[in-house]
Amino acid sequence: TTASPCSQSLLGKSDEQSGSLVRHRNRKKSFNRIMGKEKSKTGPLARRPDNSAFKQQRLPAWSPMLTASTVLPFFYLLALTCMLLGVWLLLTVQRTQEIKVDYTEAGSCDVCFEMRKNMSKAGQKCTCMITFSIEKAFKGDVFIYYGLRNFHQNLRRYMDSRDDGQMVGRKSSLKSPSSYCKPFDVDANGVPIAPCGAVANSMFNDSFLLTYYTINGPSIVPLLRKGLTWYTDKNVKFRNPKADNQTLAEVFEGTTQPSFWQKPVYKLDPFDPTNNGFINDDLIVWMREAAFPNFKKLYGILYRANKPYTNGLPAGNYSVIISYNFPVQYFRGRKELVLTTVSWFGGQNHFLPVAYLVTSSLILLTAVVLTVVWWKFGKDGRNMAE
Amino acid sequence: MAPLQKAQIVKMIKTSKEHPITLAIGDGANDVSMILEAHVGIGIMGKEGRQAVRNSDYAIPKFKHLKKMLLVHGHYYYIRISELVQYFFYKNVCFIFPQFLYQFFCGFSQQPLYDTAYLTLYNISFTSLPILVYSLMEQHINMDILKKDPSLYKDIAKNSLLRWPTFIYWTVLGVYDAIVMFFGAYFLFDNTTFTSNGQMFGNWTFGTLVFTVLVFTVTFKLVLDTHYWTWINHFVIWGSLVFFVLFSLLWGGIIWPFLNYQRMYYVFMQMLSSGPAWLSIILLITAGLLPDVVKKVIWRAMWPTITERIQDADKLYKGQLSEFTPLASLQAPPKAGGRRRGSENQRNPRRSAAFSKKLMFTRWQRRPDYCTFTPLLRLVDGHSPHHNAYGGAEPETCV
Repeated sequence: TTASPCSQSLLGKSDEQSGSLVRHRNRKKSFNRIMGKEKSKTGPLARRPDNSAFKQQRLPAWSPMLTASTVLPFFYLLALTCMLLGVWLLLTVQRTQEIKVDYTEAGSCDVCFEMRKNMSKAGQKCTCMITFSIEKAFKGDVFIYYGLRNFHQNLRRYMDSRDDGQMVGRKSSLKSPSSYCKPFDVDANGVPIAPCGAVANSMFNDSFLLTYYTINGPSIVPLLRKGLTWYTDKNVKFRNPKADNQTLAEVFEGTTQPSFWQKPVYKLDPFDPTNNGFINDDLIVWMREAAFPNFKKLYGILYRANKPYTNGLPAGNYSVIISYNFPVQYFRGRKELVLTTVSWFGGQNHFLPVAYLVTSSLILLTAVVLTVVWWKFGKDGRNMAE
Repeated sequence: MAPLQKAQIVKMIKTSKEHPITLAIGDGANDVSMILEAHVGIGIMGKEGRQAVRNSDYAIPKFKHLKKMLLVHGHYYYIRISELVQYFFYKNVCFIFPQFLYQFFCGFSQQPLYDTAYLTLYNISFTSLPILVYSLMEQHINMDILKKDPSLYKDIAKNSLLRWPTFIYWTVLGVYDAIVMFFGAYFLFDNTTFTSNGQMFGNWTFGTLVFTVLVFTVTFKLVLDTHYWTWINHFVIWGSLVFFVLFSLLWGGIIWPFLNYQRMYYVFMQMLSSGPAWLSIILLITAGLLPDVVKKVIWRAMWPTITERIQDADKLYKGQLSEFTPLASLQAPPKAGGRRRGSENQRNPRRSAAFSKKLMFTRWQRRPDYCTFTPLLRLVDGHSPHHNAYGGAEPETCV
């Protein structure tokens, strides 16, 4: 199309192509020249993409390849490392010791077990005794756990039923617990519960008194009942509501204890203000829900300042006096007491060393197979260009 | 020819026995019907106006550009998209299957294994950028070699990288990885103390451990699959992992005032402060990736595809292979070629083919069920270096 004389005079330029297109392009060109972007591309190659490395997909790159020759040395090294690690871990684990005693119905606890089947007697105390013996002394720090079987702390509604805002000490949440805690948020009279929720409500409340039979008679094994929790749990995540010159009981005024508890939260440890209220170690340990239905939680650590426990637990006969409160027959669960020593690697856990040894032998096997394959096929021609 | 006749020819090929994917290219108005009829229509911006271009899927200025478009860009696109699809399913299988397995242990109460932040951000932040950059940047073979050797296109013909065997392989790999991750962590946690101070870990630590192994495993899987490492690949891959760690530290490092639950508080740090956690993370990642690495290396040594041969050759010549290197010198007579082994790319007889000096000679042991592009390329290249293309059954219909 040719520009008409009228528009030609207006344009001041003539072009083969349509007038408006040229006008636009000229305007853009002069604009670009003013702005410093000198892109004077015209003609048939006007819309060609840039010849940059990025746009032409020619960025410098590294092209590795998984061939036998690159992978094999790595495999051998890996097999060796895993083997060494597995052996070392196995030796470490062999030195730990563990003893588990299932006390649901053991010793004189079957009486308590029968009594706890009856809900009306829930307020009555029941104590029982079990005995066990240790053949080899437990050297080092000894940790005492209580274990539960078939108790699903990882059920979704159970795990949701808590109020972390209340337990971190927010005054606003203290008297108005979150709705997730229903039906454990208020009691029958509408008084808010602190701590609310099913998790706190079902807190484990058996207690143990460990006795060791020395030649001079029975001696109570001293246990540290503090330092059981994560540092951050005890000091940051769980805090009592701020008490400005009030006692803890006054701070919790207007709330009531969970329905399954025997005492209110500010009486969990009346002798130690750093272990009372929400920051009670047992409560915090219980509130950290276990991952699986068979779990154990820390109850106490052996206090090794005095003889004869300076090196750990000596061999011999032991008995445990248990205040049996937690009923387990409703969910066909079992209760047990666990004593164990730990190394840097943790408790008695045979899985990791065995897994390392198995993995190392598998890697070694595949490395040998790959070597054979590479020797027979890879070296002489299958993959080579000439 | 009339437009209708051209369209009818394309239709005839489309409905022929092999049901091939058809491509039609033209520059004039009478090519429009044919372009619309074919699966892929290409218009050339020519002297006959813009009709063909307007109706086409792709437009090129000159006919010679078809070669690079087909052999290079088309090939790259296919490699990238097939890996994207397979990888996406794989990483989500790895993600969800442990959650599924966990239900057996939590009374089928739909308790999630991972924290909600992890659930939300897994597919958005932690694993999205690496595969995105892969699908934009990956070049499994140099461009010049692709242009030179059209037979490489046979490696991906008939949608070979997205067929059922390949997809099942990726899914089985995902399930295997998920089982390794979950049960590896399970046996570690099963009623044992994990720390040196006797304290126990809980539910969220377990989930975070599995999640950490998951993110690292799927990212390293992509690391093993990437052939073309530009700085962008490095940046997004290592950056995603670093971002995951930093996010976890940040998420668990503060008592967030707007959140009602504080379940992730300090969980990640506590997990990292435990020696067995580190050891098990390393072990589980290794165990998860091992089968795939072994499979890749063995397949590459025993039954290399043309692609892999060219990659090795390229490595050998250190990039001196260009468009003009005669490839007839590249040959590798297979040793145990008699016995055919099934592989991910079924129905591809080239693996057991005896390569001779004539590059395109293949012995078809099965009925060839796809069209090759050789006759088309003879036109394009203008010379015919490949004689005696096939011994055996000819493909029945060929453009």
